[in-house]
Amino acid sequence: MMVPFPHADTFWSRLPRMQALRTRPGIDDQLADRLAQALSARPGLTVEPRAFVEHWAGQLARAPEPEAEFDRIHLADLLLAFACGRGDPEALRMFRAELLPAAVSAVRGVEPSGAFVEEVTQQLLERILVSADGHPRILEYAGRGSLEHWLRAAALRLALNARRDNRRAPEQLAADSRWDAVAPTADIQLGILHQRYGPQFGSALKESMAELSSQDRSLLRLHFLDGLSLNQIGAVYQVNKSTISRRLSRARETLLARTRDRLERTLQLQPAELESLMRVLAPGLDLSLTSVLRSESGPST
Amino acid sequence: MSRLFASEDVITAVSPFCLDENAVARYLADDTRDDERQAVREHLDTCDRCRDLLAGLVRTLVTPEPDDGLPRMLPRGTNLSRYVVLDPIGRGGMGVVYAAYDPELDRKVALKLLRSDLGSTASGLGRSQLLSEAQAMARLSHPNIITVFDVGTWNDEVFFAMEFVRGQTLRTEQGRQIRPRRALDLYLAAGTGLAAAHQAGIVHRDFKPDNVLVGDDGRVRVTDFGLARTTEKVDARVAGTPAYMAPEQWRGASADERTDQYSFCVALYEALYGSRPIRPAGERAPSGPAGFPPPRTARVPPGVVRVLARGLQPDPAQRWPSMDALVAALREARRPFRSWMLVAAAVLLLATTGVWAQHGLAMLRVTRELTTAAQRLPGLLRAQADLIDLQAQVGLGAEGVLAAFGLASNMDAALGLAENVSEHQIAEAHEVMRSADLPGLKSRDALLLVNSWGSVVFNLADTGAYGFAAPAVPLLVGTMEGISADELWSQATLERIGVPLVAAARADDLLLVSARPVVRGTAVVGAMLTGSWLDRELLTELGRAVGARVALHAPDGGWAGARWPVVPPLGRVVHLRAQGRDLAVYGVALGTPGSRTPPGEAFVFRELAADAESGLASPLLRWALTLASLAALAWLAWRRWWFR
Repeated sequence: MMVPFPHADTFWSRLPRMQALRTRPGIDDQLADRLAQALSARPGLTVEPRAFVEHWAGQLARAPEPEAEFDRIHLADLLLAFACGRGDPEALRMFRAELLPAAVSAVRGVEPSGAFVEEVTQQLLERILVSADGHPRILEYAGRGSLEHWLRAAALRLALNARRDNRRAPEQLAADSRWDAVAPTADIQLGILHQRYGPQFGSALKESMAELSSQDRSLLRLHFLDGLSLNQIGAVYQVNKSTISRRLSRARETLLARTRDRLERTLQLQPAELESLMRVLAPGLDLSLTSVLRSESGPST
Repeated sequence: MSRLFASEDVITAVSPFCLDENAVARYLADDTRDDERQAVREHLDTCDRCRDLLAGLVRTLVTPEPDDGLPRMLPRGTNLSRYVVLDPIGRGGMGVVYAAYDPELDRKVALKLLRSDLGSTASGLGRSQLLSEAQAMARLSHPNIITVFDVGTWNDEVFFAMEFVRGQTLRTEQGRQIRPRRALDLYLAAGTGLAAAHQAGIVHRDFKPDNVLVGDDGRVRVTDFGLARTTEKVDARVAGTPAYMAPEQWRGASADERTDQYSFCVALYEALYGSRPIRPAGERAPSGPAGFPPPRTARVPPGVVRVLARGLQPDPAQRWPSMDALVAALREARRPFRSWMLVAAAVLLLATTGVWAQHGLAMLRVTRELTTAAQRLPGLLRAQADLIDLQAQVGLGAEGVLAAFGLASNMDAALGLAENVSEHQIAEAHEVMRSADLPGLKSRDALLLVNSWGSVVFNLADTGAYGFAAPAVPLLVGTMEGISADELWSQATLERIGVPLVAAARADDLLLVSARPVVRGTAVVGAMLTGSWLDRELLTELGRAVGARVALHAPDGGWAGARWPVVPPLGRVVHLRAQGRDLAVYGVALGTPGSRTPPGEAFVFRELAADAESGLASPLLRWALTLASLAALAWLAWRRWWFR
């Protein structure tokens, strides 16, 4: 027989919208269990249980659907975040040992230079662990999803912002300084076609891009601009890889067909000429697409 | 919704539906509900920032799996060995080239990632061989060969880290109809690179314009050495580029330096003429290079055509002994000037300058002396007057007076003062002549007298004076008849009788009255010596006279075989006439038109010109040299332009 959960009142008083839940039988024991589990998952933290319960309830209260979150909350992570926010040395040690590497890897994915990673990481630590108003940002973590993901998202956002701010020259290749060995062709005739119609192809591609559905455009961008593999795109959309593969192929074909139509209208070529032109240009589509997307997304990428 | 860094974000792109860190974590959690996911998906399609955020997260959270069917570029930020991939910059049969960052040396590199099926162990010539060749390349340092920093394997794929070149391929450069000179320069550089590789024992095997980079810094670099080897047995379609392959490669024989020569020449041919050398259809067994003679459309130096023809020989043994030799020959053919051309032009220019300098100096001397002569003119005039006075005072005999008159008239004529001599003086001269006891004089004295009289008449008289002269013809003839043939033909006699003959009558008269051929011949030559006229009739007569003279003297052997005394005087006549033309030139040089030159000056001129002309190159030679020099310079200039 367990002792009644001593902080039950504290908990429920902060959740006026969830009084219905409180009537669930054994709910307080559940709360006690969860708290005990969290505390045992993160041993060695010096946390005042009452204060943490308050924080817990407060985070639930902020959720759009508190009931839905009640069962899914990552309490051990929330506990660690809370302890970190309170400046607990052991919590900070855990944070540095277990979570910081994930954050650093997210930053490095944006730009690998040591200086950048160091600068952004420093910024991240200041933002989330230190605060002038006594409310470090890590206390914003709501226990929805893992703390690691939360931290990665925070770090990545910082890194992306930082890169936007000080985008450095050598990374941006000017469009005209490409090697443009897009499609080395053995046939000189085709080479000439490529030379002559390359620009029109580029602009037709760009215009056709603009006409695609936002979903198709997103898929193409993720694949060709961000260079994600199919399973990674699947992870972005939380659907399986084959669905993405199907959609991507369709988007690519649609794009090629529209580009072809557009070229047919603007260049007024014979069908046979158009066919051979497309035969030359299509293999380079991926590179062309990448460059079109890149020029489109501009410096804000 | 609270957003962690909302205050720092660029607010415009962040809609109320954007994902904050908590929402992202929720989305990525395992127990997310479908309706929650759907909402996020829809948002992702329209919001670049949130999609970027999620893409970035996924990239570090989810390991990429190879995609089937769809081509995949390595994403930006991929760690490939020690490098970090940035952007794809090229794609070819061999694989994809990326711009990449080398964090250790903090520099940008080009990463070539070979297709996974290339350089794999499936091929007999496997990865180890490719790697060892690449290592040889990495040791090779040459300005016209791309620098390979590093080579290695990554996920079972072979990669090369090379210097990053901002620029384009030679193929692109050629697409813009480059001038032959530019094409030659680029290919000379590429050929130098190839030759250097050959010396290090590396054969390219797939030389083509796509494999040559022209940097924005103007430097030409050959890339992709030896890569074709690995592909030969894997995939015929990407093994080298068929269009640039040498016949032995088609046959499957092993490639060596001479194979590269062939590919190089095909590429250069294409750059120069806009098309590759094609063998005419139906030509089965090639005995010579295809595509020769090349089209005449392009301005290609003939030497280059010869280099190409040899490099494109189907039989490797007939090509250049080495790439070095080919490049040297090409460089020689590329030069607009050969040394002999420059030497010849220099010699020509020097000779021209020489003759003009000589001419100029002579002109300068003439001018100076002319100036002196002009200063002496008043003195001469005074001397003439004094002379006449003197002669009158001394009381010379008839011949003396006449001689004085002749001298004076000569001087007057020379100085342009003919009007100084009065009718009276002329009449006096005639009177002296008439009263002279010619038969009583010795023949030489008689001639002298006749000459003096002739001078007066010739120099001073108007047409009416010929009337006075007519009676003198028999007199003259009589005198000449009395002179021996030898004496008649002497220089002195010839000159003496010339003036009076001209003055007295037309030569015909004289010829009619004398039966002696020698007299007739002498008369003609004498008349000619005065330089006054020379017509065909007289020339004919001259011929006869000379013939007669020969006939006359040949029998007794007196003059037979002797020199022709007629010829030198005749030559002088011609010479004087030639000088007459030059006098006009001198006149012009002095600023006075030749025709208007005062006779006095003309007289001085004549003497000076004869002097100045001696030892000078003839005007013909002078102008011929000048024209030749100009032509040579124009030719050199044309070559310079042609080779530009």
